[in-house]
Order: sequence, then structure tokens, then C-alpha cells
Amino acid sequence: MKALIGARILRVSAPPIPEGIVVIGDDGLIKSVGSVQEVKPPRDAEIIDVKGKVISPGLVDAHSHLGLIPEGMDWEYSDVNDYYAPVTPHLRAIDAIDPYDEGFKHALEGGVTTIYTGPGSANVIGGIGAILKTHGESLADMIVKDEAALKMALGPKRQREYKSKTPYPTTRMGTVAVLRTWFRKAKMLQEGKLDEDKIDAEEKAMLEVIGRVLKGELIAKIHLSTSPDEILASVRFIKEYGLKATIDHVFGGHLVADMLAESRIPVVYGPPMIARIASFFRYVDDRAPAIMYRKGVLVSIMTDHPVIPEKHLRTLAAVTVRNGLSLDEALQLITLNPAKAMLIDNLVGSIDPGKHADLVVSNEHPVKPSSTIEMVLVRGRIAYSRN
Amino acid sequence: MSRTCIRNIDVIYTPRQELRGYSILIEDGRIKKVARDACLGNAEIIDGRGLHATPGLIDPATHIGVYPLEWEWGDHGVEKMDVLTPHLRVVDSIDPFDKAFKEALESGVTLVGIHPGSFMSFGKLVDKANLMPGITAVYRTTGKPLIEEHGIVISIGEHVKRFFEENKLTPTTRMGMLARIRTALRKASEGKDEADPVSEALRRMLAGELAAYVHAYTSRDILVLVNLLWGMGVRRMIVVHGAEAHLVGDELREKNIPVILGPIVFSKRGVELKELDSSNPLKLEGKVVKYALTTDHPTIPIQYLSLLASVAVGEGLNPRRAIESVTLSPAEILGVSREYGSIEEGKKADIALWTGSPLDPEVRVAYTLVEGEVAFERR
Repeated sequence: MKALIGARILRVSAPPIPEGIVVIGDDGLIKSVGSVQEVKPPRDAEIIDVKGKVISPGLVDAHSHLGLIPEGMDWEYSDVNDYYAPVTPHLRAIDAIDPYDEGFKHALEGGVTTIYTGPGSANVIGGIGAILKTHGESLADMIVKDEAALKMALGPKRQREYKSKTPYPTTRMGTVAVLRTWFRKAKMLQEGKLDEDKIDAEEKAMLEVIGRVLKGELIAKIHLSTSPDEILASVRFIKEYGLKATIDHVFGGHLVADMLAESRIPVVYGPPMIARIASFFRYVDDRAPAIMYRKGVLVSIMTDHPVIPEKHLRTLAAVTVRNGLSLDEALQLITLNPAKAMLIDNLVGSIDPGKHADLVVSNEHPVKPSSTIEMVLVRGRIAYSRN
Repeated sequence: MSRTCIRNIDVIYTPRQELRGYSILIEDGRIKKVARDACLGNAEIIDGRGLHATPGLIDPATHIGVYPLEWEWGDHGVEKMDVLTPHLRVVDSIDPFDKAFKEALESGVTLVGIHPGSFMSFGKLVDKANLMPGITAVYRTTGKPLIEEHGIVISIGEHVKRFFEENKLTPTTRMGMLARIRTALRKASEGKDEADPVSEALRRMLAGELAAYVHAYTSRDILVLVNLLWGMGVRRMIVVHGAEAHLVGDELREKNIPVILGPIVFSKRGVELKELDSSNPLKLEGKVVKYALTTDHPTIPIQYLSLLASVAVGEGLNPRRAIESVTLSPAEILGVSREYGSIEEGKKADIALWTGSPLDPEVRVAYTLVEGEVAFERR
């Protein structure tokens, strides 16, 4: 058992504790949390004195490609986008992840302990993404969910130069139609309306993955909503099939914030600070997370690592502070909100008994870029220490 | 005579100290007086209570106006008629209505270097490349040039090599790139072809009239280019990007070469950027004569220049040094520190007034003054 004593504790799920204690069990879970007056450390606990420091939950990124383009490697080593076909739901990120990507280590230095990582936006349906810890003895040890979400993407598809078995759609209506065709078929398969013997093995594998999305076992993660009309198309599609979903990138979301709030679909904005280098980015506005937050949308922000390195998730939270959120609100966007969006808020995202003891110790509020992260714990183990 | 006075400023950041409760009198665009009682006599008053004053921020190596924000992919930054075009002037490519100028003013940035050439776009490291894309400029963020011709950009590395190879251009190796650059410099120094614009531009660099901007990431590329230029007699060099500059700090210090570092928040994509990290400013401390931070706008949007300085503080850099790295140091590197870069009597009144510490994300810019004029006021 360990007890971290004396720090200001930003629980996220509850108001901050000015001088608190977190007790961690040998199972790597948080045993108790409270003020130093309320909670006493167990007699056999290893005491870690963090007086004057700040403890926050390990940070969570709901959208990255960590481990799929290892740092220091060139694009030849990229395993993000496969142009095999416009629809490839049976591809799994977990089969490509390099657990030795230095990016995991650097993510820890930035206080990030849980990440979603998955295929890119090249295909209409790209494959299955995973949720991992950034620290562990092996890839198996890092896995939170090896199959967490099915990545889909609207946005322009420009892969016509690739020789795929089937052509890519080139319009948004074409893209949505491809999605709908596959979901409809998967639903018919589930309902026994198709002759299974007539479906070849690969197609069946693909339809089964989509079937799991229909059943709510996998999150529908819809990328590349780079304009309000794409967001509207995503919402329509999600409602049509009653999916558990997130809308990612969500540029222009501030323009349809009321509708998003009403839909109760979580959104993952970003990455903030992105280069607006083409007209394609005309709806990018870093005020969007704050505006959507105020309207009641469940907002998270992403690094889209390697677009912005995972280590700088908290820097991106600071960008939302510059654009209208408080430090504590911004902290929600990189802890509890992404945990909720990925349906893992029973495990991570706040400092509560029973959750993973993923903790960040810093000298000041971690959303201040000028603060320094001094120690990071993952499931109760000290995974990073500055000294 | 126009007189403006910023009265009772909470904190003024000057190179030597932080002044509390002082006022700044501005006369005809210059800082006339910094004192407790500077606001005597007739002057337009700005209430400085609750505000912090820094010099206007300076980003010495952006691409503002060359790649206008949210624009079509028109490229006015990299010429393809040849792989070595040092005679092109970036002023001839700049759109003064790029909204980045306004966003710069809104975030306290008053002076920017503007470079031709590629930026570190995402997707591919560069869309295009040129060994010498042209001559840089220095602009006020009000859209007016301060120095139309400042230095020649010389760019080598993996991205250049790859671009040439993909486009069936030459050279395609480092030895080839260096040979091309050496030959061009030799031709210029021999001075036989008076009418050749390439030689004419390079002669001005050899004479020190134009700076040499060494755009490179790795220690090997920095060294090989610096040594070549030094051997040809170039003495006014500035390293740009410099992801591995801290590894060759001694060599750079010896030759009095400053570094424009960054952006320090960017993907470690490819072998060239493996060492790129937000801790690099700290690693350059005491190693090189001088360094400044850059956004490489549009890579990191210009409005986040102060945020990059805060990130460097999070890595352990002294806050005063972080502010210096986006004010006085870039002014010195650009050679304009007699007029810009610090709040001192006699200098141009480029001043940013913040609602608190400029390194705090909750703080906003309340006013930006460019040469004494209020160029931005938050309402």
C-alpha cells in the first residue's frame, strides 16, 4: 500500500481538496481519498510526502495514433492508414502497435496515462482502435481494451490513386451511403435476413465487427468532421442506428453546439493549435471547446498524436483556457470527459475509490504549461519520476 | 507631437528587473520615460492598473503572409524554376491581409521575421523544397515591412533530399547539395558574371550585408553547412529550427552563431526530428550565444508564441529567460535591438499589456502598441 500525503488534490469528479491524502491498494486501485483530517494512512502504507504539490488524475487522450508511427521513424514506418479498401472494419490497431515507441515514455512525462490509439481517416471504415496505458511491462500489460471502438471517417477521400479492390467514394453523400450500406447489411445479418452461406469469410468478419457496433459493444468513432455539415451528417447517422458514438475533430462544432448538446453525443475536439494551412481548415476555431462546454456538450480534446505530441495534451488544454475555460474545467477535457466518452469512466478519469491509481504529481495546476510534472503513477506503480 | 502614457502598471518586465507601479510615457512612437511619475503633462492615458507590460513579442522566423491561413494551396513560398534561387525576395510574396497578422497583434506579437521556403506541415514534412528559396524580411504585425531584405535562407536535410528525389530533381545526396551550394558561392566570390542575380545576392551575403539563415535540424547538417559557409568567409549566420543545436553548442558559440529554435512543440517525425523537444531551450542555456523561439507559423499558429515560452518554463527554464527568448533575444538576433525588444527609454514603443503574467494561460492581451500606436485593444 502507498499513501500520497499533503497535496492539493484535483479529484475532477468532486471539488478539489486543499490538503489531502490518496491511499493506493496493492491491487493498483485507489483505496481512499480525502482531506488529511478525514483520512489517515494505513499503518503499513509506504508514505510519499507530496506536501505543497498538486495531484490530478492521470490524463486521458480519446484520440491518438500513439505506437502506430513510432517517434523518430519516418513515414515508411507508419501503420496508420491502410488503403486496402474503403471499408476495412476487421483491421485492428492492436496488431500494429509498437509498445517500444518512445512516444509512450514521453506521454508519461506529460502526465498522460491512458490513451485511445487507432487507425487513421483514410478509409470510410478504417478498423478497430484500442485503449492502452502508456506504461506497462509488455503490450499485454498496457491493454485496457484491445478492441474499443470502430473508426469511421467522413471528410474527402482522396485515395483514388491507390489500387484497392473497390473504389473509394469521393463525396460526402457517397461516403455516408457506403456507411449506410454496410450497417444495413450487418443489421440484416443480425436479424437473420441474409443467407450466411452466401457471404464469404472476409465479408462476414467485416459484418460481424459492424454488428458489434450495432449492439453497442464497440464505440462508433467518427473522424474528420471538419465542418458543421459533416457534424450534422454524423449525428444523423448515429441517430439512425442508435449507436454509442463519439464525433472526433468536430471543427465547426461551436456553430451547431445546441444541436450537439441535445444529441448527447460526446465530441473530441482538435487538436487545438493545429496549422490552418488550407481552406479545408476554415472552421477550425480554438474557442469551440469552451463554447460547446458552456452549452452542455461532453467535450474532450485530442492530441491526434503525432500531429501534436502526446506529451503536450495538457498544453492543448491550456489552449482552451486561453479561449475561455477555467483551469479546472479544462482539466475535465483531458481526464473525466474522455473517460466518459470512451466508456471507461468506471476505471479512470477521476480520483475516486475503486478506480485505477493513475495519478500525476505536479508543482502547480497541471493545465498551466509552466507547471512541472514531477511524478506519474500508473495503476499504483511509479511510472515516471523527474528526479 | 503625440504623447501616450500608460499609468501605474502592475509589473513592467525589463531586461534587468521587474518594475512595479511604474508608468511609461510614449512620445512620437518612442519610449520617452519609464518612471513612477512619467505621466506628468498632457498625454492620452492608458490605465495600467492590473496589467503587466512586456515588450512586443518577436517571432524571428515565420511564414506569415506567405501561406495565408485558411487559404487554397497557392504556394508563394517555394519557387520551382530552379533548386537554388537566393535572389528571390519574400516581400514580393507576402499577402498583408493574411489574418495571421491580426491574430499576432491580438496576442502581443509586434514584429516577425518572414522566411521564404517550406514550413513543417503535417502529412509530409514539406510539400516543396529549394536549397536557397530566397531572401527573408522583417515585418511589423501591422503589415508594414521594417526590413525588406534581411538574410538568405539555406536549407538542407532529409526533407530537401526526399523532395528532389520524388520530383526527379538533383542533387539527391548531402554531398550533392553541398557541392551545389559551394559552387554557387565560389562563382559569386569570383565575381565574373556581374549580371547573374544569383551571384549578386550571394555576394551580398558573403559581404555580410545579408545574413545567412542555416535551416537545418540535425547536428550533422548544421555543422556541415556552418563549416562550409565559414570557410567561404560568411560570418553572419543564424541557425533556424536546430532540433539538435544543443549537441553542437560549442561549435556554434565559437563562431558566435545564434539559434532560432523551434517550434518546440511538434511531432518527432522522422530521424531528423527525433531530438526535437520542449526541453531544448533549457538545453541551449549557457551553450550558445543566444537563442530565440519560433512558431514557424503556420506550423504552430502565431498567437501561441507566448504559450511556447510557458511550455519551456514547464521544462525548467527560468521565466525571465523564457520571456527574453520571445522579446530581446530575437531582436538581437535580427540586429534590431537598438530600437526593439525591450522596454527602455529611447526604444520604439512596441509594448504588449497583459491582464496578468504573460506566461499564464488564463491571461489575455489587453493592448498591443506598435511604435506607440494602439494596434489592438481588447473590448
